[in-house]
Amino acid sequence: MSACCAAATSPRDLTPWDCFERGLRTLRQPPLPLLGKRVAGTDGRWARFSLQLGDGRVQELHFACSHCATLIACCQALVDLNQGCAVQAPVVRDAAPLLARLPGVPASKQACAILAAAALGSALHTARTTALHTEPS
Amino acid sequence: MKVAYIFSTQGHTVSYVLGRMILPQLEEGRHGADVVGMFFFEDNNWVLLKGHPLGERLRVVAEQQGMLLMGCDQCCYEREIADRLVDGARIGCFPDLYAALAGNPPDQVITL
Repeated sequence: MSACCAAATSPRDLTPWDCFERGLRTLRQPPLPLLGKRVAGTDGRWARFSLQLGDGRVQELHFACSHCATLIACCQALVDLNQGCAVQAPVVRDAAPLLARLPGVPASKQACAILAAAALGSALHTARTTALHTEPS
Repeated sequence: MKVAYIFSTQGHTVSYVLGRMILPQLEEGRHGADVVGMFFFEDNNWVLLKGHPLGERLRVVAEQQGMLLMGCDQCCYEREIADRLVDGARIGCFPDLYAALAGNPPDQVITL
């Protein structure tokens, strides 16, 4: 599946509350083999993504993070938007497009989107590096 | 004495205790204590909605007196009002509340 295919099938109407509720379930999942760095903010909040690759795509995406409703919602939205996409071309990996797909997060909480996006970026970097080193020569 | 109020009980508490007692007293400057913050749970957050008569009066008092207005983040997201609160009001949970009050801590926290 190319990035545009993932974009076409990814959910369009994400809400913070819905993502938060589903994110609580994702939080209970164990980490996947490819771990990103634990990224922390200045206020003590942190997030970490893990993923499983298959055929160059993100087969599964999990996360762990501080128990903050906005941060959990942002992390879950990134899961919803990027699961199944090509690891080289995630659908949403930056805070601004994430917030555009997750309307309703007030300005005072938008740093959570930056933190979540940075944590996802680290996991994607791990995945790309791993994929590079396991490519057949 | 400095106090913070947590509005937890739903029903008539906000419209009655806040709207008819605390807020008019604050507006008249005769509440008897410095209110450094108010935190709202569940349906009590509706008063913080932009345009709500009580919320707009609270906003004025908060601006004049340097009072924190914070809604429970989960409660506001569930009601889809997190980004539609009166100016100056923010959302958060206990860590945000404690951090926001750390610079001007209350002597008493009163749950209503």
